Amino acid sequence: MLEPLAGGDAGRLRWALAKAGLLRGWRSYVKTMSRLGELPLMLLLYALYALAGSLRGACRRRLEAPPEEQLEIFREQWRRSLGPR
Amino acid sequence: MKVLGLSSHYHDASAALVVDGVPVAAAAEERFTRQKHDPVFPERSARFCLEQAGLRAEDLDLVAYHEEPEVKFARSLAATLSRWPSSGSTFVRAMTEAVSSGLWVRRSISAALEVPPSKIVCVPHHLSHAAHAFLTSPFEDAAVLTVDAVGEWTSTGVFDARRQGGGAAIEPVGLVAFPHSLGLVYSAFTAFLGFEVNDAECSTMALAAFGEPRYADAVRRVVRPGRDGAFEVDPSYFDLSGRDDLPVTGRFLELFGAPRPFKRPLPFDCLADAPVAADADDRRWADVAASVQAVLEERVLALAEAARRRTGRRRLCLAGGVAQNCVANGRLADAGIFEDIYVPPDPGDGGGAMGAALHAHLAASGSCAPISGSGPYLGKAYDEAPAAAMFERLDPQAWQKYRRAGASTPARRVRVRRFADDASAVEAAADLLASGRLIGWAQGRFENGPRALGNRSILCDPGNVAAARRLSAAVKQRASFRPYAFAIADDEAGLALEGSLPRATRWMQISRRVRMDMRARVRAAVHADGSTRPQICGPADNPLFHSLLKSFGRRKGLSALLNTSFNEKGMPISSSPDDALLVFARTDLDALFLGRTLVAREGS
Repeated sequence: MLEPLAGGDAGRLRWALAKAGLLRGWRSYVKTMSRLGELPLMLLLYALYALAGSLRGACRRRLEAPPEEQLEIFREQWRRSLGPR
Repeated sequence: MKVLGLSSHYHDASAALVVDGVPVAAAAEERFTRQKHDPVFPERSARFCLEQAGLRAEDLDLVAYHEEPEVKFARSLAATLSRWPSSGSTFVRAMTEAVSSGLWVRRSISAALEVPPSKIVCVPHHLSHAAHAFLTSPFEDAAVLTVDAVGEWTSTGVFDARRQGGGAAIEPVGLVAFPHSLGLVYSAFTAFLGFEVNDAECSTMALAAFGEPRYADAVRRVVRPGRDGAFEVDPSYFDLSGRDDLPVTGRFLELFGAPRPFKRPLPFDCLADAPVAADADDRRWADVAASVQAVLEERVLALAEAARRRTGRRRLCLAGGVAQNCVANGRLADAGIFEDIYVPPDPGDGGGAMGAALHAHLAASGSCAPISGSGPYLGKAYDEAPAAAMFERLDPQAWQKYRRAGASTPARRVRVRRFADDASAVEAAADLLASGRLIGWAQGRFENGPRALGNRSILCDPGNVAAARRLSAAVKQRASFRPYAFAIADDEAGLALEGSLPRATRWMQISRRVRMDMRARVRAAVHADGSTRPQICGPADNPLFHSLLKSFGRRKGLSALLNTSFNEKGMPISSSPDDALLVFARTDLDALFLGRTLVAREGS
């Protein structure tokens, strides 16, 4: 399937990536990415990996976030899960 | 309100249907596809759930998925990129899985069930576990502890849960985030010990009973205690690059020695009267198993103490894959931190389907069902007559070819007999069991979850060690270090078991010690350390199985039966009469009850 992502999926993907600390400075790339189909997205992800040296620090910061910050992010997930459908 | 819950894309894909907050059907996909731990999209189990309730997909108000795929994807991306450049193969595997299917779960659900995307909701993974544990529990309020490998970013969650005004609140009060994970550490040790990950963690737990925790301090270097019950995993001991099946580093091997080769036999025997000879490596592996088990129990106790402090609740609900560790659950019960403990029949990822549905119903309607105790018997029921009739007509030579390779006893002709009522079938089964026979017992709806609880069970006299050895060798192909468990009628449980008997004993979720003076009576279902994982069965839990226990008790003096899952090694538990007949044909089971129909080998 090479369908573009649905609007809702793109929004959720952006939210998730933002929470992963992966959106700083390249938000527009992700917006573009989320409009693509699956094959271009895969190719983009491979390119992303090739450039990942510069992203490693941001990813590590997210993985090593203090427990209070992790809990607050999870609470946000929890609040969204209780929100209007 | 009708909500279908789904879990998939890791292991144990499942579906569950909740109507007005009450679970009415639930099953793992493996029970239909016959692929153990099948992770595929649970289309067949979803269809079964709808058929069971007489619904069509368009009747559903919501479809709830047990995790948020975008958040899981973001974590997977961050985890692999953070290990750049050594994570290349992991990256390829994870991204391929995500982009080819995992990320588009909403689309898959919408296409498979023909429901509009607006009806599909994704529930955070640990919230699914927490909702499952609390909303199926008999408690008005409880602390909830969810411990597994990883769900989105979280490996461990602590929740404060209470019913109020016809609804319920389940609020997160603490968590431990990935990559710090008790489930992942236990699985890494399981791989080190030569067992299959996400399948044979119970073998690590069983092996622990034969060892001494000589390596506990070393394991504590791998998993360090943190603040307020939390813990930290030292990543330098693990290799998550995916280059090797064994996810540990040289540093890990310096602490614990060489790993056990996959499938190398272990000499330990839980039915032996005296310790068996074991070489230094075998003893070391048993000691490593005992050590990781001991540290897991320490960490679970610390988490439970923190949960008690943070919530002030007196009862505990447990869920997540680690909640299947019945020995840790037993230690928790003995510690007396909580007055009562509940573990649902399917606490792992399969149960996440029901949890997602229960949470979605609660969030959408603001209400939950009153305490009811839905129990585990939520699977499919079958008409056994066609299969039994077919089997009766077959010549033994025709099914000889289905015998398991290496099976020693030649197939014999079978006789089929149909009883007029349940009571007659129960009496006939009790006679066979009292005379040392191994019987398959397939009744009514199959159990949801990994435990056979008297509807898809293989049974024998728990005092008959020879029968248990025959069961291991000729039916289950079970390693001798892995123990059996027994089911016992509730009014006699106190005669055989020591200590408190919390709710978790209803579904074989907690280890208890067998009274010394009763061990000979249930010797075949007692582990090397004197423990068992009992199913305490009351007449309200499973009336037919309870009557069989009591009938056997009238013959042998104790209403207890060795109860193990109705399957061969490596296969899911039998679902249909055909599955049960295939096990009967391939192995040396003496008799099989399909409802009121007895299929028995001549001479049995």
